[in-house]
Amino acid sequence: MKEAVYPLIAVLALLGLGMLLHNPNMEGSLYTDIIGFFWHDFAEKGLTPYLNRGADGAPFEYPFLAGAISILAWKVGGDLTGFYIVYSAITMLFGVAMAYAAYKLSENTSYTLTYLAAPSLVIYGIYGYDVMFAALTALSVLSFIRGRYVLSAILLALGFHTKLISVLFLPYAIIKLKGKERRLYLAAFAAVAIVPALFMPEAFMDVIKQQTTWSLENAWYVHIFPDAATPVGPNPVAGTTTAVLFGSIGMAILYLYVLRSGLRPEHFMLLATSAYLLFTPRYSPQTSIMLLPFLPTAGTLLPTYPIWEVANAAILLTWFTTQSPHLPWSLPQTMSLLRFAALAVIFAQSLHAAGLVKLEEKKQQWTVAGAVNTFRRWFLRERG
Amino acid sequence: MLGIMEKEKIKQFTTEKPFITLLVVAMVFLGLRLAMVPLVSPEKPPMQCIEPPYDGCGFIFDEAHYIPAVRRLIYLGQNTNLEHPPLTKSLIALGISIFGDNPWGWRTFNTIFSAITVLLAGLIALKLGGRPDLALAAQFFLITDVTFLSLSGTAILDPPALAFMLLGVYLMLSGRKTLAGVSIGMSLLSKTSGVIALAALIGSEAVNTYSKTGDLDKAVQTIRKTLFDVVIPAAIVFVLGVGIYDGLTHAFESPVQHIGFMFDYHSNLRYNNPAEVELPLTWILPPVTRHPAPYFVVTVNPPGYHPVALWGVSTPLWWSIWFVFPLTYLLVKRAASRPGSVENPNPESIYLGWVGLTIAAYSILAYLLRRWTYSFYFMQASVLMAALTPLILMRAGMDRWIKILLIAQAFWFLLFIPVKPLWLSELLNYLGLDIR
Repeated sequence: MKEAVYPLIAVLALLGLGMLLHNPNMEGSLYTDIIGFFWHDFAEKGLTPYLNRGADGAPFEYPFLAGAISILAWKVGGDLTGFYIVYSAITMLFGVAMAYAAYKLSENTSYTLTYLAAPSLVIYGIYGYDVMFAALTALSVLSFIRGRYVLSAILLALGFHTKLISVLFLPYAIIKLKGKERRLYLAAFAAVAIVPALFMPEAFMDVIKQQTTWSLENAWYVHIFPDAATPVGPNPVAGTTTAVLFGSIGMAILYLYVLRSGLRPEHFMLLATSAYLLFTPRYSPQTSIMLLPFLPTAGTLLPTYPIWEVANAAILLTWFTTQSPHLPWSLPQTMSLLRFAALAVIFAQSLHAAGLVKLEEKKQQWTVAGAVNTFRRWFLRERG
Repeated sequence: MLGIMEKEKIKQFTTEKPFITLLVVAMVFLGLRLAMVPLVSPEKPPMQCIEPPYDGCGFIFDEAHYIPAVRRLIYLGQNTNLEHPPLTKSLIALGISIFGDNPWGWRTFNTIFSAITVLLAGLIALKLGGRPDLALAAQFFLITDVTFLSLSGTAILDPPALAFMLLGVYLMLSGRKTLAGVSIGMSLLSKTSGVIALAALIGSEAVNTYSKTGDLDKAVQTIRKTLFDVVIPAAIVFVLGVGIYDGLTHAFESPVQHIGFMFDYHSNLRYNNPAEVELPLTWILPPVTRHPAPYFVVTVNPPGYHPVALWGVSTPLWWSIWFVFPLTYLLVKRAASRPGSVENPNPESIYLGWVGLTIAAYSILAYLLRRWTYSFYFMQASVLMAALTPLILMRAGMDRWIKILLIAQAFWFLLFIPVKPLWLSELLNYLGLDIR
């Protein structure tokens, strides 16, 4: 437990630095979503998410726990400064939980410190709901490893109500568990994830609608589909669907490749989260935080990790240097390409670390006879 | 009436030569359905039926989208209706070039494809159950499916899409996975909903593996393998087909652009008012919340008499999903708890995977993404339900229920029979059963 203190302090220090840099009362402070879309769009005008629409008529785009935390910070904090302090304090609490879970998942202080000492935590920690989401997901995986399945399911469902994507872990849990444990897990997840949605179906549907109509955001394949480039938001243009389809197919293939009950839960989440980030159409830079608690579980040095992190941080830092940050080869989109390349290497290394790819395996010699044989087998099968 | 000897002979023939029997049924269906082709004919010349209004053009239902698009391409060299894949429209164009720009030209190929669907439904049932009587029951369910019969001979996208889809299932059951992928690719080239068929095919393979082994890990492994075996050939056929069309017509610079245009179009068809939409739950209920959809209804004197009426309406087979779907779930669960206890493939797994995924996909589209849906989309599930339901009921020891369902289906069909003589209409009217 003593060893866990170092990562906890590191994360608190980084988030504290982020809190100073994003301070809305400071001249020239860094942009943060939470002040933009929550405070200015809702709280300042006395509008409550889910009950009211924002100042521009758009609904609150995050699920219920994210909204509840913001409303709590607003009601407890009162004005902008109070809100910011309460919100930051809550985020730091979750940051501590994330660091604890990351350490416990890897049991390695060096790697935990290395991978949690991320510029992203400074720039995107006090920003949205990503630290909370990462903490809940990592704690859920930790509980799963410890055999506390109901708790794991509840935490996963709470993660779902922060950012929907925690469901990445659900299929793994389903194939890993058997019989009564599986049913219990599903029931606990459903109770926490679905029941609140039944009480406010309209608001929940609004969240889903917002998420599904969002255009590309810092997806590397904007370079392949330039027609799909559009300013960030729920405003798809012609061409978006093809790009989204491309991303979804890529994501599905990688995800299915790593979905194996033989993998350890933490390795699975490392791979599944990487697969998601590699192909998601909406890779806002703060999303990278969801991978941080699982990176130490790779148990190895990831040489491209600094490139991935710096490129990710650079997206926000270069965002306002150009008129069209969403267009291919703009500085932010070039950074997103670099980020993809670095993450692809991390993914490949993680595959190796998880035992899915063995580099030392003898390479199969390619021969004409072998190819003919393969074709013959295929032909016989197709002939019935 | 047939004597006992004749009945025995027929039974013997059916048992000895099931394929011929199923083919005969499909041919009879083809003959009857072809006879209906000229019942809805144009009064105006083709060139007056290129732009709306289409009164007097003799179009049934969505033919008003596709036939004018084909005409614009043939006569004016204009590319329109590019939001839909090109295969069915190419077949309509081929029909027009062979039989002329008339109902025969528009509808003959699609009618043939529907007859192939009828044949394939029987063959799938035969392959899985080995009993010709159940295969015949499958064909009966399909032929008396009011929506299927109404749309089977029309120049819309569905008949070839459904035929290639069932062919894909048949080939998959025969272990010819690449060819199954090619066939689903052809279905996709006919209608974009082939994407859902592709997912359903993979899903049913996965459920099949689960029911055999009781191991979800192995089911995921099957998904991975089937993706490779089936999706790649399907994608190649689709991209190649769209590419050939674009190369010939210069509609788009590349097939990728064209495919992107199609998917953009379909993902933006969103509704605001659910009351206007035929949402998936209404498909599998008797028409209590929605009136049957009149695809083409002729009304003459006496008032309310429809000598020709093509309706879109759910049938007892569709409603049976409420019973058969949970039944297949229980049977699959039971099989999974005793690995190795079921043969490969088994109808329950295919039903559960296919119907479940099809309904789930359309429910996500309709309820979550608020995309427009129509009841005839359910044919993608119902054609396979027709093939599998008798088998599943028989295997569950519910032979009597097959008969009850067949009688209910026949009775319901009688109410919506497309070409109704006056006496039948009057009889139904007397009983308060005529659809007005």
